[in-house]
Amino acid sequence: MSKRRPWWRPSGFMIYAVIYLTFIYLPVLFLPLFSFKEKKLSYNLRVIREC
Amino acid sequence: MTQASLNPDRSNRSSLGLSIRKRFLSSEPLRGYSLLSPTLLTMLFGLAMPLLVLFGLSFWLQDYVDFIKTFSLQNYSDFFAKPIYSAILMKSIRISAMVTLVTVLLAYPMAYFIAFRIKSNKLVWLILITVPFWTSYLLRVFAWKLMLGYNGVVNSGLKSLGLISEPLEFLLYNPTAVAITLAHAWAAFAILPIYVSLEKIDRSLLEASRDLGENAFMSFIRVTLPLSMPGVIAASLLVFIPTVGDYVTPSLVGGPSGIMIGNIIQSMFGKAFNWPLGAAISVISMLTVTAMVCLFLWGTHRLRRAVA
Repeated sequence: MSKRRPWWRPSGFMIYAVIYLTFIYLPVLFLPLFSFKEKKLSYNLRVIREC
Repeated sequence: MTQASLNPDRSNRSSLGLSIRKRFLSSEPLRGYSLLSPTLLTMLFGLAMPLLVLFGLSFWLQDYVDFIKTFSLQNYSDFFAKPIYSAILMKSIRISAMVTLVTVLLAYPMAYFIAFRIKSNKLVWLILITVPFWTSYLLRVFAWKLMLGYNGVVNSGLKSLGLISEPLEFLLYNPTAVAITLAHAWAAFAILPIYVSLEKIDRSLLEASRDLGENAFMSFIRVTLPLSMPGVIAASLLVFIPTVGDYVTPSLVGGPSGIMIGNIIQSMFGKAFNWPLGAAISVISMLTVTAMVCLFLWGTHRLRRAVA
């Protein structure tokens, strides 16, 4: 009977797969995050206007 | 009196139609070509015709806004007379070869993991890999611009960790940035063919190899790797051929040092307004890529024969 590896002890391949998925997902996931960021110039202009 | 004798013309026409139909049904190649005809027509008008037009255009000359429609090899001699064109073509091939190597090397373990180590839910893993590529190619390139930019994720992260005081300028606008972005953009195109070839391998061959005394590593080298080579070759070609002519990535993240042959062709058909020279550069690029691909296929064929 084959022993199943417990999830908290991942194999080298599993670790590689997670790193690889991070590589392909990270840039794409940063796009929506950046959509909430304000452009510095417009932010500074608004601060000046409010002052 | 029969109807045929009353109208001999109609009778002749129907017998001609019958004979054409009979000949069509009896001829296997004719039936094959007629079945292929939508594809053949699409290939002819969508691929062969534009290529022929491009090839023909490369022998004309540009005189401000008009074409000089006389046969001339001036564009080809211009290409070889100015070393900048050859240098950029060679640089494009070098960058693409590097991208192909990195992409295939990174994709192979991932494909191996899904094919051999995942017992259930393989489809989920395949979807997980392809999901980032459902977004636009342009957006993914811009995403790397956000990552590697002056105030990008990498620089901000390193600065907030206190590892750097000033943002690193060498991350973006160079050939390395182009290579990283292209390796990311074409990742899925490398994983899928390798996965298919690995999945098709008969598992009993691996068991036989282990039974005959090979260890796991040698079993991989002598059985799995040679049998997965068609997938590796397909992945290499799928990545190499489009990346040589890519112009979006170099123009967004390449900067002046990262321009590739696609940018030159694009500028010839755009700002430079010299379509014939652009066509000649395209033809030379295509021929060079074809030669490189033939060389690669010949090399891998020799390698496989040597291993076998």
